[in-house]
Amino acid sequence: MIASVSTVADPIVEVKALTRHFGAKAALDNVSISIPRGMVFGLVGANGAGKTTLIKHVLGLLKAEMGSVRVFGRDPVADPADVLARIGYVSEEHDLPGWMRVWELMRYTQAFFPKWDATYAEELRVRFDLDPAAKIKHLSRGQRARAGLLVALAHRPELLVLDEPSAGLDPIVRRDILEAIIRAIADEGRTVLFSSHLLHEVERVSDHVTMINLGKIVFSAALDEIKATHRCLTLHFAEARVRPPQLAGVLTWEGAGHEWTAVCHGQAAELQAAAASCGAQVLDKRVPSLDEIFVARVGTRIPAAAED
Amino acid sequence: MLPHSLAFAWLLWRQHRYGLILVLGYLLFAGTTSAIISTHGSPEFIENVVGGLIVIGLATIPVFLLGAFAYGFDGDTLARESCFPQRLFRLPVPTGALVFWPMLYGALAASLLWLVVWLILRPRVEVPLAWPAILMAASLAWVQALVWTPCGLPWLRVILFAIVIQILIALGVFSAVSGVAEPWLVGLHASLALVAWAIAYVGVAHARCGHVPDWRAILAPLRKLARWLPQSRKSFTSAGRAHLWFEWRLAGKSLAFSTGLVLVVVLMPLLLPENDHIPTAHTLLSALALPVFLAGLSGCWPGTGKNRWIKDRVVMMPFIATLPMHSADMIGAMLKSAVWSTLSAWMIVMVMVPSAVVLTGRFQDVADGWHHIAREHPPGAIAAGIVAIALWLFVWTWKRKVDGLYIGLTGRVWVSLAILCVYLLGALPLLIAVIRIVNHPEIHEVVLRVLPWLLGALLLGRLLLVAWALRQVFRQGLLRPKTVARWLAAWLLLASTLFVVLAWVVPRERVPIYYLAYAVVFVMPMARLAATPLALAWNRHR
Repeated sequence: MIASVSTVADPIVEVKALTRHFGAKAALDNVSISIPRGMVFGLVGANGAGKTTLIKHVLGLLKAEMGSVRVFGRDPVADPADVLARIGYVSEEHDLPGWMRVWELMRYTQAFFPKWDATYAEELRVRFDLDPAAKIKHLSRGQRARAGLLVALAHRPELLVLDEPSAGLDPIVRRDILEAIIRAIADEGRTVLFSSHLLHEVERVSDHVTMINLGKIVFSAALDEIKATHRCLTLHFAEARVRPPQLAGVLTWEGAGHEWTAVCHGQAAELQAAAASCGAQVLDKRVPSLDEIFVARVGTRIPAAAED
Repeated sequence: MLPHSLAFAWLLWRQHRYGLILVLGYLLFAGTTSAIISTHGSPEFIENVVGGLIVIGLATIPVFLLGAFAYGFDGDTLARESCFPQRLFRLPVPTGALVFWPMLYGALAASLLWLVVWLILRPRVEVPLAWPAILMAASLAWVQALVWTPCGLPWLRVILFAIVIQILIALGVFSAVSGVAEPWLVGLHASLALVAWAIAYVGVAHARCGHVPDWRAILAPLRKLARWLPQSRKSFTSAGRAHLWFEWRLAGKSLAFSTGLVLVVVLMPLLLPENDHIPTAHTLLSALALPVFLAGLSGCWPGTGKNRWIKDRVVMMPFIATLPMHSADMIGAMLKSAVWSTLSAWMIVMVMVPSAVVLTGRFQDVADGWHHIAREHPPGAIAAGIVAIALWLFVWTWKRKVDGLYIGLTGRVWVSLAILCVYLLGALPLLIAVIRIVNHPEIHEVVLRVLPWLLGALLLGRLLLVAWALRQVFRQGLLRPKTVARWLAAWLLLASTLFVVLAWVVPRERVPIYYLAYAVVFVMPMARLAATPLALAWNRHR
């Protein structure tokens, strides 16, 4: 499946038919994505789905086994310096050199980015409440995430790549990260590639959502389109049923007896008509959450613990 | 449920099974080879083989045993916190069991190692069995105690480790030469082991409660002093300079630090009364060889783990890998940092060695040696000789520091292990060949006739490797032709300077000119240096 937005001709990131194996396991299987300028591209999937592998290809940390990866029209493996100079990256592990102090980290990172904005960097440091004399290894996980975000944002990158930035962080740091993304978009219309398994966060900021499972893209569309084309219907059947009926557009069924709930793909009117044709009465009709759509599409629920 | 004894045995085996299989395989191989040769080979050959086996085994296996049984691969030995794995603290077992079983298995492994050495040596020389085995077990126990006990200051553990190891070596020497009866020595070493076991127990018990002593207040005056020192907060003028600073902070200082630390021990014989066993010249030569030796160790860090030195060097952090910098510039910074590192190590030698000579009253020995040289050679030749030796030592130290880069930069443990195995397997036949040649003057003429061709073939092999590496480097676009041209020019300039100075100093009638050329070419880094960008790219873009 190809996750693309056809309206923009000159994408910032273009991945075509990317395949990658680790041993016998296919981490990515014929994956294609295209991210136009100014878009917040949400990449969602369970742990081990292939999100980080895809992001590592975009950053040039992994070489394409098959297929191609282009960022700003260039190959990030062949031309890492030029590509990476325009990217701000926050990794899941927030792995910064532990021996550096915060001011040393800022001073060191600044040297690599000609567009480094020292005033903005200082503003972020104050906002994130980072002590310049503190060693990175002595910072809490949340503070380390903020330090990573600072050095990723301070050079005002054209593309911001966030790989599970909020994993294992408290709500306040997660809010900081989301605010940073929103600000980045609102201020300068930058492009963001945001991977997470916290679907409500992705739902809050993304323009376009791509769901990935077992190395394959299972669904990809603009968030508005996803909301418009998915419905959660609660149906009442006159007679108790052991199994739900065959209904066009239904992705999953849940329920028993007289009452069944379906997550469906299609236009609301068509779905209602289909339900009526098999003798069901629609009790409730609502737009499902991204989480429900993901479960319906992928068939596995993301662990509740991970969501909090 | 498994009993504690089996559970800990399984845990150690599961974590270090490959290393333990290698060690057991080696011991089996060494023992069997020795047994076969002792029944079939010639006496001199036996001596050479046995010597080679023991040297290699003793030099490498204890390092592995220390890492495995002291959990040295799991923790940050430079930090204040205990290196005992935190995950084990959550096991529902008493602290005594946590400490006792790994220490017991470690003691058994160390004793087994000595037993094999003893079996190999026994046909040739009379060596004691009991006390060295117990001393080895006690040594391992002391390392375990040090590694597992929380320390009040960062780096303190390394300093204590250096001191304890020297004391144990001295104890070994004393035990071998003192003539004290074996039962007494056994008792002494066993009681040392018991003390270590007790310290380890107390250390782990404290660590399990999360208690880490904090003596950093002692360093407060130093910190205050450091604040007064000029500290540049100005921006770096280029990415290259920033990364040079990073490399220096990460790996550059370690050579100078370790040189200073070990040099204290190397120079200790100067404190002894004048004797024929350890002449002043030997001590000073050892001191001069030290940076070269240590540079080889600090150049590469095979393996992975939580140890800060190893982790930062081998496992390339995404933060560093995603810096907008060409791999060539990263390597350039590493090579420059190695220059500063080499310079700082040699500055420490140049300060410490003369100071030690003066302070220990050995100045007269050195003056006598100098007068002897001055009588034999003209002043110009002496000056040129000093320049040549200084240049040679500097280049050699730097070469040893950068030679191992290609191993660590691959970021793959199996590469490190494979190269280690190749070196071990190659070292033994080489050692045997050298010993045989030295012991058989009748073949010297033939060896001297063949040697230039052999060295030529070796050089050709190296050149082919360089050509292959550079071809790959260009194909992958890792280096710009301008960069290669710059490196090549620097290489040629340094090599030709070294060659000219050597040709001037070394008398032609003693050493033919082509041997000097070979010496220069072999001391200068070539193939491994050319492979470094490939290794980095292989790690950075997997």
